Amino acid sequence: MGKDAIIKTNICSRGFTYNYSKNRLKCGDIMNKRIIMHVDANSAYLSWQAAYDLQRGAAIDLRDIPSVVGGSQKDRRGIVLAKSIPAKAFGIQTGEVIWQARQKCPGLVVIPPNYELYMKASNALYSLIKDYSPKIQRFSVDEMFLDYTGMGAFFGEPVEAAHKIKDRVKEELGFTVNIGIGENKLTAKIAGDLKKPDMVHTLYHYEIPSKMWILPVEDLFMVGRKTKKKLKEININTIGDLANTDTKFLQNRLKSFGLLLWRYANGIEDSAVSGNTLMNIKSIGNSTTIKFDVEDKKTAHKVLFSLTESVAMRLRGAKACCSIVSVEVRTSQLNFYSHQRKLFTPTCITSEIFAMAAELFEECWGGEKIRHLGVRVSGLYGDDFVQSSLFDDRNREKREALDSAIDSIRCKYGKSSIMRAVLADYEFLPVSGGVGEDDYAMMSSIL
Amino acid sequence: MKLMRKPIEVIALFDFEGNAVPIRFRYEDESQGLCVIKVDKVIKKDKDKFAGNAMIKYTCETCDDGAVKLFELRYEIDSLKWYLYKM
Ligand SMILES: [Mg+2]
Repeated sequence: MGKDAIIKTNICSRGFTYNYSKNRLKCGDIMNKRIIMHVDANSAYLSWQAAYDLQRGAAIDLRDIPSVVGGSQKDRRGIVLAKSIPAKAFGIQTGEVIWQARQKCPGLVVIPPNYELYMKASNALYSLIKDYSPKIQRFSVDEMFLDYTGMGAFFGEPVEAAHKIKDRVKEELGFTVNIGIGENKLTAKIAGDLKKPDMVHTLYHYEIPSKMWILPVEDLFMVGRKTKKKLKEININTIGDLANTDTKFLQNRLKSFGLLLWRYANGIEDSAVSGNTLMNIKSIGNSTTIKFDVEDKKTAHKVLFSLTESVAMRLRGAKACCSIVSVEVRTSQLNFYSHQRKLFTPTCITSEIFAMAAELFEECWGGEKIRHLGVRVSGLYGDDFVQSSLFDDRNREKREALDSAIDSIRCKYGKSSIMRAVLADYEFLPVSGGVGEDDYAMMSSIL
Repeated sequence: MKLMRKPIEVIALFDFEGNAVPIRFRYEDESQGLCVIKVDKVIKKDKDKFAGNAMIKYTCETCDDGAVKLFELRYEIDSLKWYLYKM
């Protein structure tokens, strides 16, 4: 590692040269070369549902027909979360509204999201790849980094091992993954995205010019729509263009972010595979756009309650407690504001989170017409580590028991099987949506 | 064997090692009413973890009027439910 660091600093001061990749090629021959794999489930939500259906004896494989996983059909706000390859052929895109997707493909099969199943599948994938390395980082529900450094003696060459892992997942868990192999997390991730599905790709340093530089710049990690536009303006269209641009010029245009992107474009990234076995959850949130403008406190409270129900349920599902609650409000004028506060004692109890959310809402709401409301909890701890306070309400244990009873009833009989009396008029769902995608540090800026 | 996917009620032996061995089960048949079937032999036991949902699959035999019949039972670990999958 020390050697690498020296080489890197040289490069940073000199600007990029081809020598760099040649140097690395030589370094690569040493025994303990760093090898990182990025394991990514192909159309995760859809293929997990497909595998689950097949296990229950379904005659058709959802992956073979035009199908999507998305919000409920009646709900016009539902969006496509995952699509099958045949659905893709109709031009259906992830993030698109369901009714639009239906227009593109009239026979489209729409499956509602099944958050519990995704957790199961994700956990199964994690425990399978754990056989190949003690260091694994769960990057999102369907993406994991595996540090293969020094594991070659046990499972063979990286490419060979990756094929073994990929085939085992397919055979044992019934879905396909892409595995990208690189010398750091960044190149591993880009390699994993090269061509899908069910494939293994490498992106070693000497392959960067031939495999990575030819890609459009938006394929680079951290380059979003806005950055892409900015880069196009200065005539940077491919990752190679970015890699070979002067760093001073980039810094001038994009500040320190420009330098970061330049480093990424050159495959320079050295963060560790964080071996935390706990899922990398930073916050859990849920928000909803309301079909009409909310003008009174009572209705707003109902919405907040319905949102809190699902947030708290997911929080408990993750075996965690939160110490910060925040509320976000968007008005019909599209003004946005949010308000947050630290709790005295971390909690996962629905009524406690709601009480805080309601308080925060009252403090920040100026009486405008509301279009969108959100509740988010953060500052998470494991639920085995909750310090009780002297001032805690004695009914806490009872409330916890109540929540866990409600959770298990809902798990068994559906979310609407039991509801709070305030929501019994069905104006709002008893547990407001949310597939839990944001429970993960999805595309966090930290690799 | 044809696909049945019927929920069933089961009498099973849970041994010291944590293995569940089905002994007898019953289910509601549309035409014949309640059917009781004795598991005479478990031929094969496999674990299936598709999409992370763990199921134990039992390929079994029963002797019905002198004729040996093959069927498959499934035990879903998370829900603790048994199914007659194929017969
Ligand atoms: Mg994926």
